[in-house]
Amino acid sequence: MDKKRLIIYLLLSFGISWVIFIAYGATGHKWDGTNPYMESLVGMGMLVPFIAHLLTRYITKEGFALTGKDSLMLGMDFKNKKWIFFILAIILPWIYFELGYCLMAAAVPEIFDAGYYKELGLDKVLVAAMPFSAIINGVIGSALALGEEGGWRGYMMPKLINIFGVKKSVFIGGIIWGLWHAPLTVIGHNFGTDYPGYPLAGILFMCVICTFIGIMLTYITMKTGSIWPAAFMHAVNNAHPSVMMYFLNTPKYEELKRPVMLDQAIIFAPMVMMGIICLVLLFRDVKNKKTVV
Amino acid sequence: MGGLLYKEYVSFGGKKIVKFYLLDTVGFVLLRVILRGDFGGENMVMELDGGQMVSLWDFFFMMAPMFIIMFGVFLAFGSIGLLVEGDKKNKVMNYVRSLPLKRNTYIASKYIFIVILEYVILTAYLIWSVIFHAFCESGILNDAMDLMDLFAPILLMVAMVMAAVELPLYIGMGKEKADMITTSFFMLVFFIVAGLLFFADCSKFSAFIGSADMAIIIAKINEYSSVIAAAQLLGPVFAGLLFYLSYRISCKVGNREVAIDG
Repeated sequence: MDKKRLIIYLLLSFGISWVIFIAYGATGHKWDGTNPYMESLVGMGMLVPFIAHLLTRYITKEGFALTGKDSLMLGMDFKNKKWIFFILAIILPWIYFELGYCLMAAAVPEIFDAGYYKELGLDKVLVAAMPFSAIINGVIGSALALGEEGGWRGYMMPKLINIFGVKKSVFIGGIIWGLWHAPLTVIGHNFGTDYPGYPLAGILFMCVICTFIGIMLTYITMKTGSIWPAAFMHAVNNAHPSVMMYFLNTPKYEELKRPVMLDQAIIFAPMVMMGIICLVLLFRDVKNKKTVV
Repeated sequence: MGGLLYKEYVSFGGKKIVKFYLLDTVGFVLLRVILRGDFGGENMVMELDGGQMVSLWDFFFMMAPMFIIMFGVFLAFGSIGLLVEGDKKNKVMNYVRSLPLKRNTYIASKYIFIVILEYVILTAYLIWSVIFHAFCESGILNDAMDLMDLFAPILLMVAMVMAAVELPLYIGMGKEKADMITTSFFMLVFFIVAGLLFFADCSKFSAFIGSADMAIIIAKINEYSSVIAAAQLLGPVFAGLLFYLSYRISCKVGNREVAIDG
């Protein structure tokens, strides 16, 4: 039964969002982050997994319980030290992005520019406040991230876990999630289009990133029994909380014509490390039967 | 707590509002797909004071997400009286007393409900903003909407601050007295603003509004990006602290069992 439900969910989730993504790609659009069309394209796509989740529940008559087993996991419970995971969810992206950009500055010292933030029209106070701003705005405006997490962590992962068990599910889930991004990766949303092995290497790399961030998101969802911390973490992650980022001269980086994939791997290395830590903790909890869901 | 929040949701007419919003969202998407920014070509373009050409469709549809924010600001403080009055009328406290619940839990449910309400309104706004952007001609209206995206959370924070002031009044004094105080306050604000408009020297302000086009206003606001960032950063912290303080006050005045008891 779970397999059938999962297939319906994936068909709806991929079907609806890919129609949106492919329509844009097919009309000759390439990613341009400053273009509101493109930002909205991603925004609309991000809402689809939760919509697909609700539609699947309607089709399969699973009900729409907000909390508890087999629910939408929309409750929030801070008891039994669960609040720790809410705090971790909003702070972890800052830690791994800050470390990632520091690694990048160390790997490519030519792009470190102590005054670059001024060229962006920012002042020191504003740069220092950026991570907090990303965290607060991420949490307050987590609607779009909730759209994704409501589907992936709220429906797909529990079903995958029921079918394959936790160990296989975190990897299968990550690959599915990465593949869902494929049309966006093809139009250049994640890594541009100018890299060796385009677009396959990009899609593959996206699957790796999604697997490791997915592990973290699954871990906190399982520990809290709620999709909210995952939604907050996803939103803060998308807001790129970092101070170091504003000291890395992007135009100079583009002039260097460095391998994009390698540099992305450097930036995401701390995130992968944290994903591995969460994986170990997750497997240990599963072994000790300590998870909430 | 979940049950109390559900009670607020039902007494607030939440089911109807959600259905109405979902239907409207489908309608909004369909209308925007058909009436895109470029629909109708040059016949549906108008010139702003600053000379920028904008699509009439975009101009018209831009009002929809803005309406949600205005609705949200109104709801945050407009609904409190209704919620407290509804509880008194339905003798909810008699029922709550029969449950293993503390009185403070009942009061906390009102506060949490307002926070959830504001989050949902912001979410509803963001969804419509995304839909608006997706079918909008690039240009000044997109920039204006981006700016609105920045201001929306700040506006809702202001609404929350107002709710934080109103809640202890309604819980401690009851609807009649609290209505009188809030109406007096708004009348006072109205008279101050009216007084300023009639008697103060607003020539600089009116000259700015009268002469500046949308691009200049947006540029002027962008000049103060540090202030906006500070408001975005400190606004939620300030609103959160005020909300907690208001909750403590409500717990004290609510325990006198005056207003909310049936």
